Amino acid sequence: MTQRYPHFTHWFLSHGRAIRFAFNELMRSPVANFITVCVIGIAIALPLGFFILLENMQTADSTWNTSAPTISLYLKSDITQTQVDSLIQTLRANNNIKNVNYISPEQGLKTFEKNSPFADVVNLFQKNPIPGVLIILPIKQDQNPTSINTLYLALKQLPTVDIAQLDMHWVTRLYDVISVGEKVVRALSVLFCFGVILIIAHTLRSSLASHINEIQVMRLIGATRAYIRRPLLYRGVLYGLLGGIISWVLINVFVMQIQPPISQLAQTYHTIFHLQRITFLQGSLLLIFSALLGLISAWLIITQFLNMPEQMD
Amino acid sequence: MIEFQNVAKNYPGHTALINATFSMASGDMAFLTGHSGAGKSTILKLAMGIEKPTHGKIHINQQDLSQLKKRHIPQLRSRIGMIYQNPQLLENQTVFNNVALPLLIQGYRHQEIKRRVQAALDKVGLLSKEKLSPNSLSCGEQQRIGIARAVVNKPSILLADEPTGNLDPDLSMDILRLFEAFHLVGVTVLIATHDLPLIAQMPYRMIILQNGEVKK
Repeated sequence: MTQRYPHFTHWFLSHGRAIRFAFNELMRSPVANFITVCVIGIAIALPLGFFILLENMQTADSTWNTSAPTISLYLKSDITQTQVDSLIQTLRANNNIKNVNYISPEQGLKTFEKNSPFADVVNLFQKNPIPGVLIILPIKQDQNPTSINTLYLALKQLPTVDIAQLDMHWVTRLYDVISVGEKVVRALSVLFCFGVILIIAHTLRSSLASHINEIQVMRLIGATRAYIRRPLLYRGVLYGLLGGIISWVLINVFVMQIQPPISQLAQTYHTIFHLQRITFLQGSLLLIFSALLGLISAWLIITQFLNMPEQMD
Repeated sequence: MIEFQNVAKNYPGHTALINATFSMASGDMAFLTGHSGAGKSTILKLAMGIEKPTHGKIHINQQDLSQLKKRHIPQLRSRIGMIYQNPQLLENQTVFNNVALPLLIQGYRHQEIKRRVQAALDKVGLLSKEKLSPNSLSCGEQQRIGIARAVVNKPSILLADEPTGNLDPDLSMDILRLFEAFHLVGVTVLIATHDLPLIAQMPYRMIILQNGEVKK
């Protein structure tokens, strides 16, 4: 039997020792470290909360799109049935249009007589005053404010069309809100990522100050930089990971808290709306990401310490 | 083997070594002396790769230090045992763990570490204190723990920087006898000290530094 462990075993054991060391350091002052981890968790939870809200708004947007934005074309009253048929054919041939629904003046009149309290008024006219209407549903890709507006402007120009109507204010607004929200979340995320890195770096830095001597000794007796770095990197990762778990819990509690009022609100619109929590995949990504932030901050700090000039006494 | 050829070392603002040339064959023992600030510590720092020389060549065991890459410095140090005036022990670790540190870093097997640490502690006469904290030991004992840590890896070279600086004459002589014992089993030993009355009692070569040069 050789005196030393095989290379891989040594590497493996030293990682195990580094993890144990990192964990012991964390447990040495549990209260202070718990506070640090909470601060990291809250810092991650803020942009994460916005992100989840945004995700929910986007699903809301797509559910409400079943009553998708349509364009109504009110036809001129003097056109013939042949003209109407050829118009419908032209429109159906248009690639941007998914569906064309024709409501003839007679159908329109029937609906009006059935639903309106002013049905009698129609009898005052000698001729059916209700124009033929074409309801245009754009294809899915074109159901956004810009494309739908282009289509609307084109259809408005048709010679047989009297009035074209498009009610899309709510679409525009929702899209605007979401795109502003996306920008805010992006900016906040960058800001808070820096925040998390700084928090972890600061914590490690102040606790490292008491280990300077140890690092010095390790270097003088022949420890490699990687060997010295390892326990600290694990500590950074541990901080990040625990912070990530706390933010995950915080956001799910937050979503559970606002679910009842949101359901009530949705009910008044006769819809059911379930807020989404963080999915398992998102949560896993979150933890990987927060651990990575911890790793980066630990790396920055330990490199700084390792680059300090060596002392012999 | 230690060899310095025309080595100069400048620090910003002052010159520590102007032209130092000396060599020690394997298994030699010598004292490096000179008044404070003559460059004794600089020589040891250069030999350990803590500093790089401004000019000149340094060979440690046939290895040219100027060719040594930064990432190979840990390897160099693991083959040199270094003892400091202040023994540089980790206070939150036991005596055993302090001495075991170089072996742990090198990936020695658990049983081998135990065997070697106990042998080293036995050699310096402190085997009974292995479970104590270094804080509970006297200065002389701490220095001997430092020596045990330096020799536990069986280095071919031992360097010491004022190892008796904090000790009274009797204890100092004990420490020097300990170094002599390692010299007698073939280790190259270089001890930097300004304690001339002490080393006058021993029959070893003196390398005297004066104004940044080795006095012939």
